Amino acid sequence: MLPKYLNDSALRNLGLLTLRSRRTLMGITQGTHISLKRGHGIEFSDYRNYQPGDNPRDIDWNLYARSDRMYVKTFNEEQNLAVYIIVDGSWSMRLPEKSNKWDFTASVALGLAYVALSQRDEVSISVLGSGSLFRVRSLGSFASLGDLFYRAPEKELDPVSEFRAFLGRLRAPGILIFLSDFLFESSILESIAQLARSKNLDTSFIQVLSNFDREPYNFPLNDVVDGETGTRASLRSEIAPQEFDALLEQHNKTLRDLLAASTIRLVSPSLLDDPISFIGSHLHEVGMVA
Amino acid sequence: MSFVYPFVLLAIPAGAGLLLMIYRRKSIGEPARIPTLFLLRHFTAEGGRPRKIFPPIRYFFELLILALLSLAAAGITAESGGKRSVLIIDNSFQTSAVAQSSSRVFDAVTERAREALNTTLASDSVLLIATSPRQTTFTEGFVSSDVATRELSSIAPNYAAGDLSTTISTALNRGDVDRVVVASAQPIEGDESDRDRLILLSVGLPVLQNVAIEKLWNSSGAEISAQIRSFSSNKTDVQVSFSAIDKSGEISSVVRRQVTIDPEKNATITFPISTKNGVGYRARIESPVVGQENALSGDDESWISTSHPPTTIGVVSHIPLRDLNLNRIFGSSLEEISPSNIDISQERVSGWIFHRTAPSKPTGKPTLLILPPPDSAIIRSTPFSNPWSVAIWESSSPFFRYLSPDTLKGSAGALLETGYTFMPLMRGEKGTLIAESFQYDTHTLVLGFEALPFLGTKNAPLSILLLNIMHHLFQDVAGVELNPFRGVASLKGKKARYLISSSQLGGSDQPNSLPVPGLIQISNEKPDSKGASETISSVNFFDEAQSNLLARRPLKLSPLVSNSASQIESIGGMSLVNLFLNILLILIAVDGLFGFISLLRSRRRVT
Repeated sequence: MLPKYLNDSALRNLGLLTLRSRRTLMGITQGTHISLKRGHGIEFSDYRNYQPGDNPRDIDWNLYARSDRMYVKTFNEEQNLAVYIIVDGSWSMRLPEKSNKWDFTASVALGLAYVALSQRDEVSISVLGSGSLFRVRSLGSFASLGDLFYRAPEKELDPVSEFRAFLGRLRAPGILIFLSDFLFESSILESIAQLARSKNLDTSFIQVLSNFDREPYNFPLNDVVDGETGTRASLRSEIAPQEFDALLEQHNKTLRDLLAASTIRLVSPSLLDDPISFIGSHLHEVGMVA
Repeated sequence: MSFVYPFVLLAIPAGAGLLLMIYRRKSIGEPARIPTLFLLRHFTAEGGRPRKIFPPIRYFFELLILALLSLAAAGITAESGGKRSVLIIDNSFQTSAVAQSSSRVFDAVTERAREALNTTLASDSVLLIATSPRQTTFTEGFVSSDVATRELSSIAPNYAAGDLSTTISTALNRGDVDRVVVASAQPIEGDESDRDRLILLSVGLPVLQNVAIEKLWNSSGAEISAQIRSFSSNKTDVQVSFSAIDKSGEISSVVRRQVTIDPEKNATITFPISTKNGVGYRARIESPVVGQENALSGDDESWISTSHPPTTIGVVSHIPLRDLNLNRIFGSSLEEISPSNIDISQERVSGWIFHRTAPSKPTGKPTLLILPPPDSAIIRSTPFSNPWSVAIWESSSPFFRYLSPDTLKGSAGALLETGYTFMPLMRGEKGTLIAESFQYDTHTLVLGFEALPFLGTKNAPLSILLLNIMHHLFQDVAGVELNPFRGVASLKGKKARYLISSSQLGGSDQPNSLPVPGLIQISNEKPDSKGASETISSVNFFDEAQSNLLARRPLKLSPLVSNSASQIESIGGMSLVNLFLNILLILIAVDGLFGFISLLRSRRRVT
């Protein structure tokens, strides 16, 4: 089952997009991304001295005529990329119940997976908390990915260990996209950033915050229970907006600083109304898709 | 404004607290599930000032409902101001006694009450109650003394006893009454504990003496006896007149007898029944004149219908006599005779009713055959099961008195074969339904339809028909007392006219005796054009306690509260309770609306 946003029209539009990496990485098989692998391709890489055994067709004869020395042209091979999409599947992403936070997150994750599969990249997708990693190589298996998002989390999520376990199962360098609200303690955020940096990955974090996450003071709250931990608490009758906004801004600044230090890109949609538009315009602007 | 049960008002604060607790628990019991407390934990109540509780508007509505319910349960009553007093007027039969000043005791009672209303009770809220024949409130709740004074004139002495002690106890036991004022000729003793609340307005009359007809009865079939009782401390000479009454109620002859009665003793006078056609007799004390020895004239007269030798009508039916419910229609002595054991020659039976059976030969006595078997030896008939109505009837027949035959209808019956022996009295569309015969010295009437009320349904035309039949078929041999026409009615004076409704015919709630003395003339509710519809019934009211004016024993108040207490209470606080109930209904409706809106909002709410 796919989210409502991913209808046929949306998928057609997504199929026109390409996922871009900020770095040239070693691919897996032949694909559309310029890879580090030298070989046949259209992207000229360098010259080197001819060595016996080289294909005579690779000798640059024009340069030989000018310098009387034999050089061979080398090219970067075009390969596909491994795209890793990891989604925070904890209750914090699924609550409040009437919010479209989770639908938006699932739509963005699946939309990016569709873009990657359309360009024959290999997609590995995991919802943290579900304990499983799905690896998909073709669009034929795309529809089955939707089911991944509609299972309730089995346990309370430990984001660091889950993320570490996920990274341990990666086979190749590639693009890593992490979707979460990142409403974690700064120590957890630091650990996640370190783990992401330790791998040879082009990492992007997409921070999905609902209206409630941003402005809880606009909602009638008295007694609340934490959706993840089950902790109950009585809130003050009034939450000062300025005070909360300052707290959230402080937290986001910490997040930004940590990610910037780890060369991790952070994208945060301001509105959760149209995930397809978010992919096509917002992610296009930041260079994630083209 | 005051309360019958003020302690019930405690329910208001208790309920308010309970409601608040319920609302608080409700809000705590269903916490909002939020994504994370990560940032919100800085805003928990423990970390700042305590959270205020804002009950919803619905809470205040429900609190209002609770308050109104509590006020109603507490017995709130409005008053015009001052103290709340119950004024009890003794209007029992005794109060109609005439004192030396030629005014009634009741007049003295009401005069004392009027004085009290103008003085002691002038600024009070008064509930006016009369005691006879039962507790009756004459004001709509507690009213001003002026209104009570006006209502006082609508109370009259009643030809019945009253329950003064119960009325006083009931009033004293009301929680919202400051004092109880009793106007009576009787000496009354109250409990010491009620000294501050009970005011007794004694009329202070001297002891009056009375002579009364204690009993009037048919002693031997040829004589009527009257027992006269003297409630006097002196030997008293009493003259009693004895009159015969004909069917039209006219007095046809008068006989006078003199008797001397010892103090507080009785004497019996016997009169011969001289007028054979008289349907009733009246005995009346003519002397002494109203005065010292006879202050109460209401018990000086008694009536009795013509009494006959004990009459028995044999009822032959396969259905038990008690199930036929004939006793609902008339009061003659009925004897159940089994169809298999008929002896038509027995002397003690003066007439016969054969129900769905028939004798083998004429009985020689007045006989009523109801639905006889088709092959009966007396008359042959052909059963049918179609609805029938009356087409032709003998309008001069006394069986159809007070009756419009158009109203006679049935769903089945039997067509009677008439000829030389039987002549048709009433015909339906297909044939004869009532036939009459005088052959073989036997007056026989045959009904081709079911006329007995044994099915339990009230059928007024059939009941009247049956009464006519009983009256005229058996009157030659027995005087039939028209008991069914007796009933409690608003009887005024000695010559009361009692209008009986058709719905009362065949009813089972006929009283055994009437509570008033005097001649009772009865007429049908809608007398037809065939003439007068009056008849006389026997009445012999006598109440020794009420007739004995010598007895001045103090009336001890019972500490018990009778069931009628609720009657007084309900009348006392009725108007406000009704108002509350109306407001309550509106509030409950509004509360329901709130609940509905709340339900909708809770579905829509995004927490």
